[in-house]
Amino acid sequence: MGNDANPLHNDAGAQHACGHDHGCDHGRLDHHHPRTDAICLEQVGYTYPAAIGVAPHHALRDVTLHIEQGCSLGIIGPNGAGKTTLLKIILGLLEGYSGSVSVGGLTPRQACRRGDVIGYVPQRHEAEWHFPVSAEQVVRMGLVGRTGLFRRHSRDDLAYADHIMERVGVRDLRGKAVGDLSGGQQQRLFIARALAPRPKILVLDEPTVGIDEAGQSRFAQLIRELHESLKLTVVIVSHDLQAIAAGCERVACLNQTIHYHDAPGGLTRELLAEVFHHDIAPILGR
Amino acid sequence: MQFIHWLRDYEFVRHAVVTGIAVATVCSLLSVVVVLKRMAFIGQGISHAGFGGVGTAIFLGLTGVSQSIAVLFFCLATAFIIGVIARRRRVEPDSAIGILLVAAMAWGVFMGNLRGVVLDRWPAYANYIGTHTTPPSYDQLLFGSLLAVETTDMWLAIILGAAILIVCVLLFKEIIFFAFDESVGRVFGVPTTVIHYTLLTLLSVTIVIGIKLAGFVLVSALLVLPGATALLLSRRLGVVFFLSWVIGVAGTAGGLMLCLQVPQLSSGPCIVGVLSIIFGLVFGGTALRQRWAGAHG
Repeated sequence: MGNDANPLHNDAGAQHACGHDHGCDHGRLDHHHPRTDAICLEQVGYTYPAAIGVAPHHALRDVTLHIEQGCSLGIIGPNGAGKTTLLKIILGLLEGYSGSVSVGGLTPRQACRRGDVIGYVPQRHEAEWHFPVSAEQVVRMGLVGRTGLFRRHSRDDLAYADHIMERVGVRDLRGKAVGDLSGGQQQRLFIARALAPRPKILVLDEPTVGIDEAGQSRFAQLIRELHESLKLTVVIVSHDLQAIAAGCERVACLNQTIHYHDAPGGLTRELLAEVFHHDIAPILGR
Repeated sequence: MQFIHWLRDYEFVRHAVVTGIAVATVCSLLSVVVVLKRMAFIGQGISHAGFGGVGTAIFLGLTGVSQSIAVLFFCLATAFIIGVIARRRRVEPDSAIGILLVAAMAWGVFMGNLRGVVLDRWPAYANYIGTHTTPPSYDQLLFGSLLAVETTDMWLAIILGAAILIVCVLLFKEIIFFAFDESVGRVFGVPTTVIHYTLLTLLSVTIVIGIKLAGFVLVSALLVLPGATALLLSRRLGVVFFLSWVIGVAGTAGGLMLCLQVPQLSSGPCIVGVLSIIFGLVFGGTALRQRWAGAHG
């Protein structure tokens, strides 16, 4: 892929997040590849409706982003930048947006109903860790949508879930209650659950929150390995620039709209200041 | 031994015991989901709403299965209104439950009183509704009665209880994911809206089969106490369901025995009383064990 002379692509056109040499011409709407885009957003906007005493809030404006199959993309932005809103739209949890969104060639709602298009790793603190289930039962939850109503999981799927637990390094913990696992183990458990239905897209929401530095490094390594070996499209949403820089080939900066940059190494102080509204480059060591 | 004799000699005791086991089985298994998904207050709202159905049935002169259908209609209507409000969030769900609960109870009392008023002013109304059966007392309705359980109620409890269990088994994996994390479950293809309304329907039907024994006020306790007690004892899902069932059936049997020993007592308070004592003992025991474990390493 040829890099643009100007590393910032914060124009109104499509921002093409691709890390491989496929000759695509990013930066132009008419050059996206609907068949090869894993996730495709075009001029997406979302406004939270007014409530009593609360004015309508524009969370997203004119977000256009094409994520090629096999990319690893980090979406960063400050609090209130619209990261969660964008994530909910991609996951099919939020309706009423303007523009168009396709996930694996389907609408987010259709992808959501299939259950095996997106593997989703939610924030760890949102889960009910006192719930009386074992690690293995949590991983098998990932197969529920793929299996469908009134059916039992197939032997093949159960064997694959077992294999993924082994691959992610949580197979030895399968009989343990989820509440007894450490933060890093819980994170890997969620990754195993996300991958159990064999999705081609893996979406992670703030995956490094509450994990120590050594754990973060192991986590970034694991994501890189899974990305390579399973040929996954990986999307990480985080406010943690270092986590994104360590785990992703490409970065998209979001603050209501996309301020796109190719590789994390090319992030400029000016861009970061524009997105985060204050100078945060020193924390990246530059 | 005396209990065995009663069981052999009296039909109403057999009806009450069989109904009790059926109701306890369904309630105790559902109670695990109710506690984990924090639906206890919803259960209370639905059960109290059934009182509106009984009041309407009394006014219209409905008895037996038709009365149960009227109660089921009120319970289902309330459950679905609560369900819609909980999903759309225009009013906080607990406020909506609080409003519906008292409104349905007020409606039930109003309709029960209205029957007397209409009969006083228009005696011919008795020809339409029939006055051969006297309406049950408020005591009986609110707190349950062994004598109120008829053969029809027993068969209704067995058939509907079996139907509820079959639905739960068929949707088990979806219900557990729904209870664990609803929004994430949706991303993984769990039809959360279908599961949400299915659970509300199952709760409504369970309450309908349990009200004769436990009464409108106390039936919702059967949907909380066994599950809450079992969750204090284990963190393995299969064990929790088994313990909940054992506790539910044992508590109901204990309550019925107490009620048979002292006939002046209503069955609902006896059952809920025994279940509450079991919960208290388990709660105290587990707290002491944790303290002891903390002090010794």
